[in-house]
Amino acid sequence: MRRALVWVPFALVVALGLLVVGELVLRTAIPRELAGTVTAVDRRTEDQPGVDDVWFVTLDGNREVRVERPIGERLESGDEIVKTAWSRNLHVNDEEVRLSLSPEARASLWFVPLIWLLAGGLTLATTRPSEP
Amino acid sequence: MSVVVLAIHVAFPDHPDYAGHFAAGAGMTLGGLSVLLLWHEKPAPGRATMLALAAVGVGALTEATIFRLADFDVVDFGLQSIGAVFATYPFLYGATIERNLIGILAGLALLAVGVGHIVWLTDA
Repeated sequence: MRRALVWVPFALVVALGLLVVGELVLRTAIPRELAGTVTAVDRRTEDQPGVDDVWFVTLDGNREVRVERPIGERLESGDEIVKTAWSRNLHVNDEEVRLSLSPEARASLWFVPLIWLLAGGLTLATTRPSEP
Repeated sequence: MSVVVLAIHVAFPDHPDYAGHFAAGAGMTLGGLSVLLLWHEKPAPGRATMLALAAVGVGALTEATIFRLADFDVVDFGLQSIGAVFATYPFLYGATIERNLIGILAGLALLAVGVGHIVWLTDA
């Protein structure tokens, strides 16, 4: 039972790592399906204004989506946007905008596996049979 | 844990607050677990995990209230929760009452550094 319990923190680290990667990839809008009229583009400041600002796009007045800065800067109220899920092409009015992974999303793809590796190693160390 | 803090700084250079969130989460669990060591010479893995979950809950609460700037930041929450869980490892490995004082001091220091870092970035 004790042996099984020590794997619970590892399972939590795996789940939380997936949450971090998922959120950062979601902000690139690549996994999302989007269709509608942009009714608002909202830029909010965080810890360091101008560096880690947060961008929100509202579609049809009722769907708020957090996006990366390049997307937020590209869109404005009145734009008609269409995008299928997992496509890297965002249609803005008659124009096609190519989406890419942000530096943060890319970094999470090596950072989170590193965290899993560390957590897995530490868990294995705790399950090591004790010396007689 | 210092390896993780270093990795966070390398991975997310534009987000120095991420390391602060990780440290604050770790500090919260370390502090709580060190207090638990006053009553249990060797906390059971279940107890340590429950304390980490409590720290995750407190972290969610602070992220939704005092540290909610633009929005509830899922990445902030995720990293501070990973910190909270990582802090259980020394205890799963066999921390004892003799190491209690070191744990309390390390926990308080990490918590202070983490929260102080975030507050400093917010005020800057």
